[in-house]
Amino acid sequence: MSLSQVAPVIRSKNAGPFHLTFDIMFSSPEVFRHLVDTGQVSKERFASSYGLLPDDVRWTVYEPALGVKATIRRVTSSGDPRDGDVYGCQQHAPLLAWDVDVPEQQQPPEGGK
Amino acid sequence: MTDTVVLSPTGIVGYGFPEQSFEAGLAANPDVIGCDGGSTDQGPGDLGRGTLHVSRDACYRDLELMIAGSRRLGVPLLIGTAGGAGSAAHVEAMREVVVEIARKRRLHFSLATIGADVSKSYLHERLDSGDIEPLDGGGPLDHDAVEACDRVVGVMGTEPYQECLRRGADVIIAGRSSDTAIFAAVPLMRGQGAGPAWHAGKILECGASAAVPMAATDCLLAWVGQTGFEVAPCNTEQGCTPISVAAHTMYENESPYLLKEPSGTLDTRHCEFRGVDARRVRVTGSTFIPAPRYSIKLEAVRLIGFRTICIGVCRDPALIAEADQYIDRIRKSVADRVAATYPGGCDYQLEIRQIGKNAAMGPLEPVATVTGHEIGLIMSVVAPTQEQADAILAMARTHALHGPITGRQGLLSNLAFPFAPSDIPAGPVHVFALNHVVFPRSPIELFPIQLEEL
Repeated sequence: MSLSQVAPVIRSKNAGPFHLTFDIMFSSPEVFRHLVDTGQVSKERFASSYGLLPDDVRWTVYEPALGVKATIRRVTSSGDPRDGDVYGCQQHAPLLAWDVDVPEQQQPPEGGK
Repeated sequence: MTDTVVLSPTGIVGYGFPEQSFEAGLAANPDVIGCDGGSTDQGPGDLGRGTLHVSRDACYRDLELMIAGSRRLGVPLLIGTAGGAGSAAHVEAMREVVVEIARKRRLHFSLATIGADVSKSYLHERLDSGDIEPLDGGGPLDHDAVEACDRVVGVMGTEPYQECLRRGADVIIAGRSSDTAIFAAVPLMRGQGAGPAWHAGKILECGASAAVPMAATDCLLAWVGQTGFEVAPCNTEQGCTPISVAAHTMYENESPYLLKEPSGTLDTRHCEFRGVDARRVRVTGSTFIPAPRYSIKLEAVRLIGFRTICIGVCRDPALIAEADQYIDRIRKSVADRVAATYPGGCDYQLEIRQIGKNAAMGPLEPVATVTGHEIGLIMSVVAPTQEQADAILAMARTHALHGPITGRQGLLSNLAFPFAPSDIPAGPVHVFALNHVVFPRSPIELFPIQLEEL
């Protein structure tokens, strides 16, 4: 199934003019733990989705919000003539389609489509 | 000691909020009302031009309610990053709104403004004394880079607000400010815990964004104590949950665990978020680690030229199939014509984005194949003068309209223009210029305070 089926929050946003930050948040603690523990939601996978090296990504697993956060440097500063996304808020789309494997008993009712 | 109650009416002054929610917030007897006025989110343009991020009319509506509520209860109103970017022009624009409201409502109070503009001479001096450092990813600063800036502001902490309050201010219109400092200033003055005060500030700075259903345009209350704080939205249709409050701790920060402020770092690693009831959440375990040196983050912009843009849409599959090559040919044609038109040269920047391909993500876009039946071209030229930007954009537009396409014959016209005239002069273009902190001699030396009785 796709990550967007199990993570109700997948977003990107500026963290200041020079960084982009991505949040992925889950509604189920079991799904959150399973995907982080099995490495299906990981810094390495994130880096490869954006053509970066793992060392380019600051990665935090944030248990209280059942979420993970990735922060990277912007290609250009926000609002630079070469920048196409001043708020940095449309950079998350590649994450939505991540194929993830979640045990059947943890899948949301509408899952498995 | 009793908790300090803080009311945040909305995410940004001028975004609006329901009056009913605000009245419910006032009924909780807040000790202070605070509201953020902006950020760097909108890019460098507002700081460069001194333009408001939200309209004056919308700011007037929100400020009138906030000022009336604050005067009715006799509690201070703190507005940070006034006008969207918090430069002198923004502070003055919001000060004028407050004065107008006071006259209209026949209200009398003490108004304080806090400037946040940083002079180049100050920066040169701090640079020489070794008191400026780069932030993550920024290079060391030199005098030329300082001189190239067109406007610099410092991001203030709680201390300038507290100084205004000690001098008797009822309403404070502050320049560029840490969002959280607006809300932490009063709880800290009252002796509440530094961790809870700063963490509550982080949750309050976006109105009721930390509630569900999420609404940046509604009111949030926090009760800040010695060892923790509680938050709840004012709108009874909303509630805070442990996850919604934890989630907002993550928002727009580089790290959810360590949030940097001028006087130290908020550490939320050992936090516990617990539901008090269906709408209210208690947060404990936040701590604040004082910094070895007090630092002020600098934000700056530099004028790089003037822009003209043009939007055209292509529906012909033959052009869509060779769009990249077509754009290369536009670039080449423009380069030739600029060379012919400006024998002395002209330092211009032509950007052509393909909506339908990679306009949003640029080099980060992983999808290589265009599958849509139309693409939009956004052409943008930045040049030293508006006239040159207009002229060079027109060269790009001409070629984009009439350039050759493989397999098509005759005089071609390849773009649907949705507007006439097709070209839109867009004015001065600024870029963010500094990514540094300065170590000031005192937390307030960069932030001049002016008090007036209305």
